[in-house]
Amino acid sequence: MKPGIRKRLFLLMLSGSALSFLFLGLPVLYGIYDLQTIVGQKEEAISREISYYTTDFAKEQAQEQMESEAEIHAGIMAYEAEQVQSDVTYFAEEVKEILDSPEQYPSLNLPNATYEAVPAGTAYVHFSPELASKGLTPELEREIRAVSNLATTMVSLSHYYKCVFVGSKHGYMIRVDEKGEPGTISHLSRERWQKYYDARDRAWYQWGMKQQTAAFSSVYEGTDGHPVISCVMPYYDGEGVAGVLGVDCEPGNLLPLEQEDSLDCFVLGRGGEVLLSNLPQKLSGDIPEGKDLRESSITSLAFAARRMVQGNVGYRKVRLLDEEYYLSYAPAPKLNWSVGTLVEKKKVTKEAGEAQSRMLGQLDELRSSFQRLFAALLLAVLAVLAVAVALVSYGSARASDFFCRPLRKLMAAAGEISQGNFSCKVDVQTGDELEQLAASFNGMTDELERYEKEIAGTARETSRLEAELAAAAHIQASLLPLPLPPRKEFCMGAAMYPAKEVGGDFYDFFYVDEKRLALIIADVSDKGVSAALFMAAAKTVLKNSILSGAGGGTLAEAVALANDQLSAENEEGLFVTVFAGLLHLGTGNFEYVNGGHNPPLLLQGDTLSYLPLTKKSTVLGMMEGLPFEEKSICLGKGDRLFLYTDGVTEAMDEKGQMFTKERLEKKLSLLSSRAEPGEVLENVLLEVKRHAGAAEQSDDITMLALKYAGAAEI
Amino acid sequence: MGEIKHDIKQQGAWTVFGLEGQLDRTTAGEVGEKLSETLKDSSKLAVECSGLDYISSAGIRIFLRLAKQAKAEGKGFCICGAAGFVKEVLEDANLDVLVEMYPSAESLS
Repeated sequence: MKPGIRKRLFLLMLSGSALSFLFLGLPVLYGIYDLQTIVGQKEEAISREISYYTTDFAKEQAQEQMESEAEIHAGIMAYEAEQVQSDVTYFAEEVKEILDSPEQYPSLNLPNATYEAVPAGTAYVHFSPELASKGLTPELEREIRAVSNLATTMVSLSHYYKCVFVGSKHGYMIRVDEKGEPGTISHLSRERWQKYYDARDRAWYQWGMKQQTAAFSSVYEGTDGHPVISCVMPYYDGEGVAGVLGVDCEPGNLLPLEQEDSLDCFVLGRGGEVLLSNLPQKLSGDIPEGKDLRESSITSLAFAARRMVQGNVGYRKVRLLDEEYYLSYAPAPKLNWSVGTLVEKKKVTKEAGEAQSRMLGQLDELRSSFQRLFAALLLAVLAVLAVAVALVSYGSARASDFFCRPLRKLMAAAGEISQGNFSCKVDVQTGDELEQLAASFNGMTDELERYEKEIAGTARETSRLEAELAAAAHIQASLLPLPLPPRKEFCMGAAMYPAKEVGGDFYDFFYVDEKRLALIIADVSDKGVSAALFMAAAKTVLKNSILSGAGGGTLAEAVALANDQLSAENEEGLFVTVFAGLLHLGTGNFEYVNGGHNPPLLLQGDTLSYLPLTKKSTVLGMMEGLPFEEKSICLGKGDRLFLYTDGVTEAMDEKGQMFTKERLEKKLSLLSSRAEPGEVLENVLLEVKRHAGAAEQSDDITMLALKYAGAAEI
Repeated sequence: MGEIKHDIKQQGAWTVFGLEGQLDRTTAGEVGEKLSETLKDSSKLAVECSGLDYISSAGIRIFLRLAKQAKAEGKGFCICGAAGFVKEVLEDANLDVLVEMYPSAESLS
């Protein structure tokens, strides 16, 4: 089965809307897809760029940072060194002032480490072995006692340095060692040095003698056995250089320090030698202290060392112990030193890598947020489409439902009608062809309903009539008398053929007494049960009247009596035509009364005539008190009477032509004069039927024939 | 089945109910009702039968009923102009005993 109009309408609307949505929605979807593709491609390029850029940038940043850090380190170092140098310079000036005018200073006697254990942190004098053995001149003793006035300055300086000292060319030394733990004694009081130490043999002394200003020595092993770096300068008296003075520094104190972790750094002196270094054990092999780094077997390192010695600021990748390091370097101003800092490559690149991964992470986040955005957008578009489709589906369904409602109403009504419910009406007010259709439909159902009622009414009427007619037919048939015992005086035949719609005919015959025979033929004016009952009443009344009048009354009086009785209780206005006759069997005398009935025929030989009319005698049952006229004739032997009802003469053929009296007369006259009553009836009936043909019998056909055979011979 | 037509004319005091066709069982009911109605509105009713071809006992019954009704109401009723078969039937039945008969409408008085 094909889909119904409603479904087709729905599909049509839905597909139309779906097409519109496709036209609208596809570009949007395509746009989203396109955008996503573009963003995806761009993003790839961007992340590549970012990757390169961050690597480069991080490297550059690292380099710049390292270089600037190297410069800062160098600067810090230079500042520290400068402080030391200025301390030493100030110290030298003070010594010079004392030596220029020793007489202005009080004579002080400091403890002598050569002969006693001087606690650390105390200024003391020490004599070289040579001086100790030679002994002091008074001038020298005065000088020593004058220079001893430096003690205050030296002790205050000793808080910052490992050792503050003045080494005279004369072999004495004034010195303060750092205080250290309580109980510590000064270095030169110790056995190792007490009798052997001579400042003039020390490398710092020889180094200091060559200087004009305060300058740093190389790192060397100090009197405490630990590495030390001295800042020294010569000092003068009136004769020239009088000795070398200075301070000993912890080499580490000069090196720049990072706050978090130790910095791998080293300092190159002006000769390329490694002055100071703070390097892990594994690196100190490649960068040994005191060695000229320019001579290093590691080319990159040697190259960097040359650049450092030249006082450049730079940055270089070096390979140490199979690991890559970045070496950044910068000169320390005024010192002619260069500070180098080593950083492992992975440390540098780690930051770059971190930066890169941070960037890429951001980018990933961006990408995923883009994807989220696209997904959301797509979802939104799909949701909008879905909602739109749902709305359109709903709308289409409602609309097609709306458009098809009248049709469905009509269909439902048609179904109702097929069930036999003709009273159903269709209410369609669309103002279009459908309304017209509905109107025609309603018209049709009205017709059907009316027709149905009509049919039902007719059927009821018909069945009622049929029942009535059947009852009437039964009554009518039961009224007919049984054949009389035959007598020689007469011969009689009677027949009644009831019409389908029963007529009101009946006949009757009976002996009034031994000598008289009563004949009655009658026709009640209507059909049906009431007519049949009237017929029964008429028959009874007539018979009773005739029988009761047998004593002396006339037949006319008997009929008048019957009329009175029938008229009295005849409310329906029924009437009956009656022909009643009395045959005197012995004489052939025939008395008769005709109450509005067809005049009977008399056949005497070949002569055919009607019985003379009885004037003033009319139908029975209409009016009480009517008089009836009685006549009589005398029947001869062989005379025949033919009594009939109008069913005979008014029998119609198919064209509505009646049989007529004329045809009846003709038929009877053609019959043989010796024809018996039964034969007469038969012939007339045949003739009537021949005339009627296929036409339906419209009235009862009733006939009675009597032949008088004459008085019985005794 | 008979066919019948009728017309109603006023002739002096008489309302003349003309019949034409066959007055049998099938047409008697309708004609009877019309005649009853007409009788209500008139004091003198004549049934003019010159156009009537056939009358059955049902037809006669209508006439007799009308005559009875008219008599009860003190009105005039007659049959006029009956001819041929109809005249024969009416005469056979001696209806002139019950209903006034006139040969034609013109002879109404």
